[in-house]
Amino acid sequence: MPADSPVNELALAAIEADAQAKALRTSRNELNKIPFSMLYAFVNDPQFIPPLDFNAQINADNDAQQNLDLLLEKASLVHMPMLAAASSGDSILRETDAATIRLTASRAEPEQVYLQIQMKDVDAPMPSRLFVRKSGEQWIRMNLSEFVDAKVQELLAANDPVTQALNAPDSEVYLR
Amino acid sequence: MATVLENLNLEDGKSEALRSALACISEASAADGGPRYAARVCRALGRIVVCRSYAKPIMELSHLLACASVRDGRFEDVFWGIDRASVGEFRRSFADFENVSPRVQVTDDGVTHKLSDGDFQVSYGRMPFLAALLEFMIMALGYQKIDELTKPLTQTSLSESRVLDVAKSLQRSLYGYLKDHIPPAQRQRRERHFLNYVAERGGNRTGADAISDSIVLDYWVAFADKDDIEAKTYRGVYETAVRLITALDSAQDRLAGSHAASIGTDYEAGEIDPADIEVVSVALDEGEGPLARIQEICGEQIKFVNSNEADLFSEIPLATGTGRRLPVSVLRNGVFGASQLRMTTALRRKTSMKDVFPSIADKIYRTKLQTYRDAIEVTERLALASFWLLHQERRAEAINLALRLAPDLNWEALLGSTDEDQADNVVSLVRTNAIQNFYATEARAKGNELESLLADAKRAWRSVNRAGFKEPSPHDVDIVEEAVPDVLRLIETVHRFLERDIHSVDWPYFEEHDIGVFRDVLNSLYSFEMSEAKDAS
Repeated sequence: MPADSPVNELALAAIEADAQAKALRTSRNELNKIPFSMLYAFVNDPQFIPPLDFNAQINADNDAQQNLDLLLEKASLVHMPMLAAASSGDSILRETDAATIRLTASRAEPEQVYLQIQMKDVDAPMPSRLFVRKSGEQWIRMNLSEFVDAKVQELLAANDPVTQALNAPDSEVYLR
Repeated sequence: MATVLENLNLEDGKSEALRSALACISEASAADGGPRYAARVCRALGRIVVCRSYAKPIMELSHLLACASVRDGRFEDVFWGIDRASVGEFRRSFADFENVSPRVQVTDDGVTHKLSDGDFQVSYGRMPFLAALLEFMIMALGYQKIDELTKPLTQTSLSESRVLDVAKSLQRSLYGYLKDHIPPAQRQRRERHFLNYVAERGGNRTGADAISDSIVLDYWVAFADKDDIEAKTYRGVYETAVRLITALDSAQDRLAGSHAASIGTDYEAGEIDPADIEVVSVALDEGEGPLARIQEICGEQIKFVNSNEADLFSEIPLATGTGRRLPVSVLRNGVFGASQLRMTTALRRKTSMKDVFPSIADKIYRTKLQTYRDAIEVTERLALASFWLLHQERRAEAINLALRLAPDLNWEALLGSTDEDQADNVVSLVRTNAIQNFYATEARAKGNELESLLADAKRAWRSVNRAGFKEPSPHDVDIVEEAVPDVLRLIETVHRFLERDIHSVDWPYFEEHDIGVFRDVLNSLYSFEMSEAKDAS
């Protein structure tokens, strides 16, 4: 059989492909992308605990940021875009056709705030997580208690990152 | 010059992005920290990317996406709402789709996408791979792009041609990405050089048949000291020969079959069908061998094979065809390939070369063969011990194990009454009865065949002192059951080599012949005898 017969050429092409696939499976750098499955778990799985460097990884990965934004947009029940918040005295109110979110300072404990969420349609599915992002920063996630009569109230520390993000009028919010 | 370097860096960066996207799939983890996608799925994904043979998988994926979107338009919950991309998890996931839409029919084997102009079935077995392909495409092309391209699949009314359109647009996008990101294939110079050598010396023999023990040894002797071709180690040359035999056998089968006339492939012009390349490269996948499968399934939990045994078994060609064609080379690699490795290690570490080369008095090959026999005997004993465990746990694999360990077992004894005129429905009752009797049988050394087999198995179980075989958890039993078919495959393969492939070899002759040949070449490469003498003085 001549060295360049179709059988030989196919065998050699397969050996080359096998070597190339092996080389591609070995990343020379540390993993510098966030798997989509991890972003999905961040949005959808209340039990999921993100790795400690999750925000740093997201900051360094534009594709992951875009993927996460779309995942939130597609999966969420309520979206409150930037500049949807109104401040009146000691409370900040966000309101859409679907829900209201009110952040009120505690009178008894100045270092605490009340987060109240009310869904307008009592028959609609109730959210279980809140995602909030200050302009130019990354998403912060918070699991919510069970809704009763389409309402839920959470007590937060005034210096909690969620409180701080909700305090900023130009923050964006998703309820999932 | 700067421009050339910048371009090289740019090219490297692009392929690094592809590497990163593939690494994301193999590194993705389930909640317990284990891999989300099985290693074989990741290897198959790498193969279709390199061979660009993704047209059919993307067609399957498009139908699966349409099925997964039928409930609420959100395919994501089917693909990522499960923790691990496994057959069982997809089966459970699609169980919720029964009666959701007339367009999706859930069966025992998978889901059928029922369209007015034809049905398309996707099996559960295929779904983990298609999930990995989808996640890879999202990592490579972006979620936004995949969402846009697959939007038509979420429509209530769908036709085969619409699905085909989506599949084609996904293929085009992936093609465009890979065109920019896949590094050019490196020509495998060593394999081509070896194959040319074989063509010159093969005589009337062709293909894998032309690669023989003498050609492998002659090639190494001729080129070991040459700088222009990488042939310094015997092991390297032997592995090249094994790879070529495997690929040539598979290529021969592929081209001899009906696939030879693939539409649109111009063989005369030297074109090679990507699907053919993919099929042949599957044959080269060492991860599909029984030893690799056992190690993948068992990890550190169940020690069917310890590291010493794994090293020994990895010397035996587990792919059909190689052991038969290169029986002596297998032993040469096991003995002298290892010896050369010890020499190079000693040189690198500047340590003594004393005793790195074997002695004729050691009956080198016959001793090596005995170590293989001893090792596989241990594996057989572990298989017998597993039979006891799986029988006690009433696992289905216990029946298969019994059939393999005692092929002449009298099953009629378990059937009880075997009236020849029984109706079909009675036969199934009798079968159920036989299975119940099988699990109810107790170990008795002097009982019938099954009872005494169980007694042997119980004794084997008690004598085993390895990880996973002492007080196994239910999860350990699952692992044993999953690994048993590959353990049996390993036993069968090693026996095939020991009893059939090397049956007629005159080992005393080769021991005497080879020790001289290897001494000469290794001395010319490393002067090891001079070094030994110096150490002795």
